[in-house]
Amino acid sequence: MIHRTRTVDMDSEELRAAIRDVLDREATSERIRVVMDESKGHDAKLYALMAELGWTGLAIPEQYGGSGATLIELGVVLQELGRSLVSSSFEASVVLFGGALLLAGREDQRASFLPRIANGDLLASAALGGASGRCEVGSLALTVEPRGASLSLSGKLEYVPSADLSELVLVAARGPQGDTALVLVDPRHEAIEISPQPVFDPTRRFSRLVMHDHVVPRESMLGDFSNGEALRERLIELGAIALASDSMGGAGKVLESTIAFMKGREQFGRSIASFQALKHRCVDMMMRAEASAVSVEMALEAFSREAEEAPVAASEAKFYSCDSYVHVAKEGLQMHGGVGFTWEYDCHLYLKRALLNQALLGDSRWHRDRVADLVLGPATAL
Amino acid sequence: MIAELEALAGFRADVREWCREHVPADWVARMTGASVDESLEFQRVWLAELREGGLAAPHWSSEWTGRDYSFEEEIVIAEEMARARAPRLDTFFVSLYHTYGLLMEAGTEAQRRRHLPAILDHGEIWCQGFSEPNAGSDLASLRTRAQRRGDVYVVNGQKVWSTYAMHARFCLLLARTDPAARKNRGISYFLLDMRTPGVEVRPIVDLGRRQEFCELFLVDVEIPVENRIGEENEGWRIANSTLSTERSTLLLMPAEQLRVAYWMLVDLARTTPGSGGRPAIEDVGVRRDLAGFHAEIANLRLLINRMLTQMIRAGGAGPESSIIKLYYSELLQRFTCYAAQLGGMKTQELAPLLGAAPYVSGVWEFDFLNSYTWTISAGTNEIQRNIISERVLGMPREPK
Repeated sequence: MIHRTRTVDMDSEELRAAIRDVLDREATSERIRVVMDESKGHDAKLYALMAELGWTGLAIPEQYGGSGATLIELGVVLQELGRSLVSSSFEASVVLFGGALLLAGREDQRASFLPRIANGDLLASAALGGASGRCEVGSLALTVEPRGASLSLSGKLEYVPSADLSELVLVAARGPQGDTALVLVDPRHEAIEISPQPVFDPTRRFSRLVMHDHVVPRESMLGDFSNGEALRERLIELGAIALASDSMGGAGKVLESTIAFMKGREQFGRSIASFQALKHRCVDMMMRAEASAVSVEMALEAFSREAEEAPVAASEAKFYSCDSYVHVAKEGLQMHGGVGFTWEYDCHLYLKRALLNQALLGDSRWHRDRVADLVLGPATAL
Repeated sequence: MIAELEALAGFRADVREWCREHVPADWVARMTGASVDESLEFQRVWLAELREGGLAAPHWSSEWTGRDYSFEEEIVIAEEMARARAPRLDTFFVSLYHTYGLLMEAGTEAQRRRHLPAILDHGEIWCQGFSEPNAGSDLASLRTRAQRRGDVYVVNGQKVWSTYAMHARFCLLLARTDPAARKNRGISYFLLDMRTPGVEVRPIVDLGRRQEFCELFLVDVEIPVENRIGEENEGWRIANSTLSTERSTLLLMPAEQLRVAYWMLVDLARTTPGSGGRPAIEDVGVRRDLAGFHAEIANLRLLINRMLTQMIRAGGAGPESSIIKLYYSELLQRFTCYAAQLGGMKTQELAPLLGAAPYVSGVWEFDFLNSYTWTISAGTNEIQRNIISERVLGMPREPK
């Protein structure tokens, strides 16, 4: 039986324990495989439970039906979802879409969508760019043109998370002045061509959206042209922190299960966990995981209090935690030996998710470039 | 910022004011290229200055004229010293930390009375006689022999890597008292007066051509029985329990220095030509590397803060400090090596060195070479990895 304890008023570690308790039973290795075959990247049954337990509404203010916790608590959920390789629209619906409304939504937009996100009824997504690994405004392949009381959208959006399950997608489009607009669109509208974009990571689900002169009312905008790019940057930071959190959770789990596997595996008459060459590599994995954890905590904390250092902290958490996850997942697979190469063991799922996290919403090169620009100032000759 | 320290704003302001008044602004310039005697004299003066301010030994109890600072206050002092770029008391490190920790935990009242005031009031220098030519990482296999004869032990053997032994008045010595027992069961702990006949000290010239650590040759050296610490054959246990009291706040200083050093590297990248004759800092590869170091240096301080917060709330150092030492030392080594390689021939040019140096002086090649003291001494990083894998990750020991 599942404890139906709602997650309000718990401190972070109690919250983590409660979430892990649920996911250890509901997101088992077997269940992940069922979901990836049957519903390809979104476990609707688990999502309903997550909503019931209050995870989807955790960081949504009480007036909109949430619990009013902060991004720090939401980060704990994301870390645990990463740890258990959960397939869901949580990042897209709750973090990106919900986060966008909280940052820049009008009162009517918040009032009509946030309660439905909190109770798990509304699935939504956001397309912020980054298809090429780079995330600057010039990389957007969708353009927007103001036309009286309307906006016309043309171009394509790639790798939009769970867009085909969503009622709404917040899309970033390049304006005529090189500015940015964030616009709500209905991905099921007949003027939008939507097609699946399967990726190697079977726990995640993406779509391509193509539109030509798709006209929407101007009220569909979040913010306006003057603050669109700033808002898009904040949302990239938020998404980056979510991916860094997912990576931190995944890396911790790979380290744990690799050591558990090695302890039980005997060769040359002894547990392979006693071999110094392997122990030293495990310590390196642990150091990366530990440093990722503090980096992610710092980013969550800085973003939630809108600190001056939040942009640097978010990008650093993204590249450090994602790079570390890739390192740990590679090592974990190798140290499992032959079984690490099988479909049955989870090693490949973690490695695929690690590589995907690294590539999403600005790859490590892009985030390093961003940190360099913010910390050192722009490189004049580039 | 550690939340528990916010209440100490007034105390912090006092320490900061003290540093502003007392840390000599020009000490780095004055000590660059200084002789051994000049460095030693500077260390003594600085010790006296800190003692006057009650800041020489923040972890000492008032019984021995420390000030009974709380752990939180100790952290604030370390943070402010780092911020003020105050010189470290390198020469007195063993005296202030190891000897104090040992005597408080395992020494007699008479030993404390004889030695602790002498350290703080007169700057008595101690060294360590632990490692031997054939007992480095495998310290428990040490062979220096101590044989009981009446009221004395007669000691014969050889020690190595004893830092500042040539200036030391006393030595913390481990020697074998029972060769028949299992190797870590037959060792005893002694206080050795360096003026005893039969003690010979030979400095070793290090890779920076400095003479800081030494070999000790011990021939029929007599140590009075009352200078044994604890019971006979209990030395290994005592050494282990007193070494783990190595102070976690000591990591704050190097971590803060690395933050300062980051901007020294940025300056180097601004003044070093890169591709196309443009400054190296405009090179995309260099920029990505600098972004990486920025994140890693931030993480170091966050790891330390997390450890200190845990210690404030739960007490006890635990294995966290080994993890941070590993992270710090390898980051320092990569960072300084990177700088040494970035500067081209400019960083190859021989420059005068700084005695009692901060860990990063800006003479990059020297800083890089010096970084090996962190990765080799006090248990090589390979030994640290063994310890962490066994004590933190719960992996089994390698069979003997």
